Amino acid sequence: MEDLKRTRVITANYRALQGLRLLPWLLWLLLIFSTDTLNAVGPSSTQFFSYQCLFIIPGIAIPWALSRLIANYYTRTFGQVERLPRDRLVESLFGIVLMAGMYVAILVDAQQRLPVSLLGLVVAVYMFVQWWTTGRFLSHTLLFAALFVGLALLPLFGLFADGDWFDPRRQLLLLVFIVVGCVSGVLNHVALVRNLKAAPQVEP
Amino acid sequence: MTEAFEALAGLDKIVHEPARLALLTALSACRSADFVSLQRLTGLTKGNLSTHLSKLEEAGLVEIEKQFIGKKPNTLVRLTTEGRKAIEEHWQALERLHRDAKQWGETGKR
Repeated sequence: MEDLKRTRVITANYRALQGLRLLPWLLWLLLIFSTDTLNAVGPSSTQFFSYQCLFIIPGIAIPWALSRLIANYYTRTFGQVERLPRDRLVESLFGIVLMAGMYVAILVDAQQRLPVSLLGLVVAVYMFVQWWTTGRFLSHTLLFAALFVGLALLPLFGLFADGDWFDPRRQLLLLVFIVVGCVSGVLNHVALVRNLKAAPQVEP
Repeated sequence: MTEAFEALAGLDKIVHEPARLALLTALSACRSADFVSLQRLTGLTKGNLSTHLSKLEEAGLVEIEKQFIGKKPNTLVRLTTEGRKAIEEHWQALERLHRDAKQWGETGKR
């Protein structure tokens, strides 16, 4: 019965578990953020080449093409599952609320200089809800929710307390967010592969 | 307990067969799924999967749509309204039986 319940959860979250889909976009963001942040916080003698000029507009084609390749790989290897209209609606609404929450959190973090990072807390809540709604078996999602709570509390201990989100020192936190996003995507993919059965090649 | 045995005997055999129960459970969590995804979700061979899907189609529990994506053939499967109702009722019956069996076990211990 547990196995069947898990099959149900995997089917309902088939696309969400295809975590490599977002990886090219996250790595692209990482490249854009990291060079400027490292230039700003690193020693003045060490200057990294800024990839921003290469990657912001013309570079969009690269993550787009890579994500298309990954989507084709998923379709070929795992097939296609169309979500229930109700699930799609809930997920879209949840996505809109998350985006709006992150936007507001960035603005509040920048203007109010709160002792905690609101953005970190918003992402932690998102991770927790994701863990809860995917049958509570993706333990790494819960672990990341705890990590984001920890990151959100860093300013409370004097770390990254000065400056706003547009300050390079605070941008280091954004880098951590993106890295965690990448790792989470890979772990979601691993969870999908581990919970699916190997495709039998020969008839018994 | 006689009621529980009666309920067990009354389970729909078309739905209760393990491979078909797995297929219907997977299909109940989505709008439609293609042949490849059902194979990966259940671990059935192509032949077995085709046979079970045909039986479910004959019973009016699923709809099978064959189409081409580009030049590749693609088989799309979805539950009919009757199929969705059948799997939901079956799960309710199984959970009821599970609950009854647990209660029976606890009474037996005393």
